[in-house]
Amino acid sequence: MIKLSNFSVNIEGRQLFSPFDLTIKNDITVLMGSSGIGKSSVISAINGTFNYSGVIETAKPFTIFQDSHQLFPWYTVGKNLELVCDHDCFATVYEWKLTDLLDKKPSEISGGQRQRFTLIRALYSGCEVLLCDEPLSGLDAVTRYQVLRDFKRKIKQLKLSVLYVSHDLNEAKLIGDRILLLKNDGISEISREINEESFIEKLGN
Amino acid sequence: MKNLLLKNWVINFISLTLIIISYQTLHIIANEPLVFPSFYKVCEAAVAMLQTKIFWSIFYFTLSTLFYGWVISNICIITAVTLCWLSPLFRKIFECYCGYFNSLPNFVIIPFLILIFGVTNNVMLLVMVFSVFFSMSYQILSAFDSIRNQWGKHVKNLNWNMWRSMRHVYVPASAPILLSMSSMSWTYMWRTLISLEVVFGNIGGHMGLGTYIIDVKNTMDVDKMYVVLFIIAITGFSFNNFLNYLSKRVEYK
Repeated sequence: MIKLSNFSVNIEGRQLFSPFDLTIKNDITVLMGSSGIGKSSVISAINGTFNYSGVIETAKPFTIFQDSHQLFPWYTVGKNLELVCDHDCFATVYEWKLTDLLDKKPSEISGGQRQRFTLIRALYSGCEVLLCDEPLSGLDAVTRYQVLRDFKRKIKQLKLSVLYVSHDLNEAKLIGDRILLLKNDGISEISREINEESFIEKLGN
Repeated sequence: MKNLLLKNWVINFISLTLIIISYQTLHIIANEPLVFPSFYKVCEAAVAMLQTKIFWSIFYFTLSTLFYGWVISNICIITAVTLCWLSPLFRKIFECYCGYFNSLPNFVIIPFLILIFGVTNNVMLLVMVFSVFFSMSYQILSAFDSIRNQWGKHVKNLNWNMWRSMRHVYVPASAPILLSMSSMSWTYMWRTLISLEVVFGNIGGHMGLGTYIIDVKNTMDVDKMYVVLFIIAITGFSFNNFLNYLSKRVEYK
């Protein structure tokens, strides 16, 4: 569970947005907002690498970062999983039809396959809270859809609490149980039925 | 044909052949066998020299001196870098020293070292260590900084202890850089050692390849001078290539 009370992130003593309260328990909350508003900073604050004000109560979090260096490139993908995960992860590797790739280095597999392994590693890292900072931003629409679908199913199976930062409304609708919009005056929940135009309008206001 | 020209050994073969042709042309044009003996005579001298025990003992002496210097300098560099990582204050002071001592030419400290240690082999070792210590330590520190920036957040994310982080992240991440730095330091030290031997070797009773060049020059065995010059170049080149090969082996994408 993640519980944020009167929470905001600080840069040089200045709050980036008005403080808000948020609780995430066994669901997937997508955090959206315009560039520079501080979405990634929220993730960094929760994982303890950014200044914040207020109170954060969280179980052990695991962060999936935006950049491509998720897996250690000097080890095979299998070794990368072995180092971080319990043995259950290999059932998911089998389920997602990735078993043949376990002996390959991350540079020898495609971006989509790499992302899937990154997600498996995060899912089975022993964490209860997952913080995802646009983890699939480099993937094409079809691959992203497939990966998201599998990822969501596993999150539900493992009963994890997830804070998922995204720029893409379709991605947010696909994976999120609820969608929150972060703006200077705090957060507000937006409907999952919202269309692109209304969303852009909300983003701009 | 195009593919063949891309192979390193072909390029090396062509380069060496060009040197040999240029040298032989110089020998013919200059017509001074005492200064430029024919390539054939140099080859003859090489065969004769490689069969003597004295040459191999000289060669071994130079290489072992270089190896000791390399090991000592690596120990010093690793110690300095570790201390810099552990203490920011030490790092600030050390970076100041790097600024002061990097600008000093290696040979400047020889008179002071002779004053302190006398005319011994230790002076050579210390000059060699000095030639690489500050510059290499500084470069390794900068390289480690970039590795820490890149991987630090992942290590924190995994919640690993220092030992596990070093073993699985920082050491493998920095291995290519460390090996490439080792290759660079080897090359610097090789050049410093040979220069020291040429200028200073006889005084210290040190008999290395550089000293041998001066000895054979004094006895006017000019063909042997060329042989030693070639061996110095080839030895430096081979070791450098070997270390670069190792560094490429551990490189990651």
